[in-house]
Amino acid sequence: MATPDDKPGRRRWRQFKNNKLGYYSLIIFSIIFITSLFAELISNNKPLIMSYQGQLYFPVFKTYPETTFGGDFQTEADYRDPYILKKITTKGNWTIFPPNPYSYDSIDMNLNVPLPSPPTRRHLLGTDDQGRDVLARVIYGFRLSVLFGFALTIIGTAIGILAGAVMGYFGGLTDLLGQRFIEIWGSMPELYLLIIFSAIFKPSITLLIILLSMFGWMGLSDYVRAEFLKGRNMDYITAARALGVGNGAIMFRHLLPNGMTPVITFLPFRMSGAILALTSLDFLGLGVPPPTPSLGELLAQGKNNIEAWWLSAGSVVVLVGTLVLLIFIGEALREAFDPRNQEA
Amino acid sequence: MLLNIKDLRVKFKLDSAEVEVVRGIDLQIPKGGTTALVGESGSGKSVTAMSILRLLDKVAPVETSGRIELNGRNLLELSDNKIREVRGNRIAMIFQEPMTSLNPVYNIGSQLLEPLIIHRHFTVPQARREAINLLERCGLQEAEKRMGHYPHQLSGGQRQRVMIAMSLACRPDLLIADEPTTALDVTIQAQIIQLILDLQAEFKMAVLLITHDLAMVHEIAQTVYIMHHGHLVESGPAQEVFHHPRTAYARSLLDSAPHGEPPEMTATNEPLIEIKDLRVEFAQPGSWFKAREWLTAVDGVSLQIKQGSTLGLVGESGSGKSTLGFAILRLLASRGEIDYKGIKLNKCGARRLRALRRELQIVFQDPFSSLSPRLTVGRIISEGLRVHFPELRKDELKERVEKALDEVGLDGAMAQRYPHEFSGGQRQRIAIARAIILQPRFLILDEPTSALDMTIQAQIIDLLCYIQRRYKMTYLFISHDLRVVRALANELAVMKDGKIIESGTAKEVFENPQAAYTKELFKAAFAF
Repeated sequence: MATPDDKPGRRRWRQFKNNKLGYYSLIIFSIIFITSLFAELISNNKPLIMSYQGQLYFPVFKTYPETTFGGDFQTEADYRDPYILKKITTKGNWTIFPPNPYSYDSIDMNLNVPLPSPPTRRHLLGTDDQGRDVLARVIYGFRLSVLFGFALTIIGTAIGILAGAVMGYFGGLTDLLGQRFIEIWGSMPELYLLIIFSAIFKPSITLLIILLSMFGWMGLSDYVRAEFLKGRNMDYITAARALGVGNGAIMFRHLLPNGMTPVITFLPFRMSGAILALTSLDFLGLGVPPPTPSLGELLAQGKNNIEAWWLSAGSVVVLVGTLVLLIFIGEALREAFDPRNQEA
Repeated sequence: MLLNIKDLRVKFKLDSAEVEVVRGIDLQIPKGGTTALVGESGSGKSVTAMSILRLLDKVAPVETSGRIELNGRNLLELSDNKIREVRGNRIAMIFQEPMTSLNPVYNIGSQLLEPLIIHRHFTVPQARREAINLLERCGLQEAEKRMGHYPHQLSGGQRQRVMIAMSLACRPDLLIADEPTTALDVTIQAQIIQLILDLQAEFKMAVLLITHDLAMVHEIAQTVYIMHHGHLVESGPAQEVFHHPRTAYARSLLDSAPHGEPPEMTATNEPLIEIKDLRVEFAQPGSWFKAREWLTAVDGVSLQIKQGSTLGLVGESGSGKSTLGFAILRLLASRGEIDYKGIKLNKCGARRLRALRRELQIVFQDPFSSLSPRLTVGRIISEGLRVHFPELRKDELKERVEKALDEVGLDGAMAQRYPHEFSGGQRQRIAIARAIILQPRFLILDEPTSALDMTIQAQIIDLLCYIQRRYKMTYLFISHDLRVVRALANELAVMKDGKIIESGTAKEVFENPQAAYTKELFKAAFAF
């Protein structure tokens, strides 16, 4: 007799952990991602904490006008400006900057080399063709890509499950019409639509998410539909109907938990797909508007300045690393959910 | 001795543990005799059969020790090539499910020719002639035409005949029949067993019959071995084992065959459910431009189910008896009149019907597919309460679930666990708890015992009788197993091809069947 904690979920988790590659990939990915959520504390042109004339300031969390520190303007202080920098670091004042004292959009005005400038002690991964720190842009770009990937995956999965569930559960005419709609919808040229829409609307991340989600749900809905078609004839569904359970409850309480396998298995792959989609759109210039940090935009710069290897190197390493980690996680998940791979 | 098994042990190696499934058995099969290996599911009888031909090698992580001697040669030590010469040639095997043991993409002919060409080195025309002979011998009509057919074009009985023909192709010394009739209808079962016996006499081969059906064994086997938890608990000549069983387990197995009389009807003669001219039709898949073809599963059935009684509905598979049950509960669309206490069920709106579902419940055949694997037992049982009594608090739900579990003979603490942790019999008890927690007036039992072992069957039947007495429920008991129906039903209806052929009180029909089909059915069912 099995122990009470032997839920299918726990067993799967044990099996997932058995795949060392996938398990450590998940740990590494989580650490990097959670760290990148605090990018403002790691790479920022504003000091973390500073003491000016005996008073403590936290510029990362609060905006102070330049006049606070003896400057001339009412606008926010530029802490990397040599004039301000001198004021806040001498005469008993002190300032602690983040490890990488540049943000993704801060332009280093004090470089006396042609741009893009190669890696130095000052800019560990060099700067891009506008004098922005590449390391900062890679960190923020990674965060944006992963968040974008999460958003797109969640929205696409939700729509996919809903559409697949309705088609699979009701079957018949609903299924027929739904399938024909998917065929028509799926044959629309996605890239053209993106180009057209980016001409009509101001490009933004929201627009990108909406457009990509409109097309990203179809693959998954097919799998969910198949699971529901298979499941709706099971005796336990008939039993639920005989108990008088409503359609919605049957779909989401009785059928969905039994049809989650393809959904969960595909999550990491969908995510890597979403990250790649954003990168390629950015590379083509159809993606996020400047100066949003983006790996694809960095790659495009690398292509334009082919001799500046540091431009592509940073984003390529991050991109390949992320995708490889996600694929390892996906492989392990797939193994854990493989019915042929069950412990007895 | 043709086959001599000495101290056979089979261990399965799993990730976490080793499980010994066969724990040292000794078994002898004489030339030309019929030996039966009897046991409940999980007793290790099929694994024993599979290890004789070493069919588990490389398929499962398995460790076999002991000796299996065929004419003095230890099969466990043979090389892969040598054992392949034994398989199908000296020892042949037929399986329980004839649909999955024939390859669906080859026609019957080419599957039959293969062993003849490989083992007996026939030329193709020779093999063809022999194959047709074999099929005819196995009672398949129009054998020559059947050679070109594919498995899905044959019925279950016909497929099993083809399997037998295939296994006989090389004139084996030993035929292992692993539950050869379990998946077949009663009338077909009797024919297949008779066929195996005839062929055994003709080909002078030994038969090892693996089964859970004791009645069948009694008639045809000379030697009986009874297996339980991987051990042989009893063995000897059939007459001796049946009339003077030595061990308690053998006695309980023999006693578990359904017997006894149904409880006296407490009921009035008032009908609870009255069906008039009910029809269920299924649309056959067709092309867009052709008129749809319809398959009539239930063809104008009229029935009365009296309050507090058990109506036994019997018939072979495909006769429409389950369809009728589903239609009464409106789980399937139907035409005609279903009258429940004066309410016309077929005219009810969805809302009205949902409220009525509390009073009309069903228990399914297969307890493995009727419980959702992702919900806890407590959740499964309380589902009906949540729908019909949404005002109940959590602790009230819990209390009622525990009471229901207690009622069906399970421990209330089991509510936290998942269905896969339970055995078939326990699962069926859970399914019954789910149905009775709403205290329905009318309960449909759709073959509630046919997926279970004999001893468990008897327990479930006792439980159903107890519940009926206690809650004064009305049962519609659907089954193909006439012995079970005889023990339970007050009234009986026999169904064939969607029509009710005969109905009346159970006593009348069993003692004096009128229709020719009913007589044939009873003869087959009580043959052994």
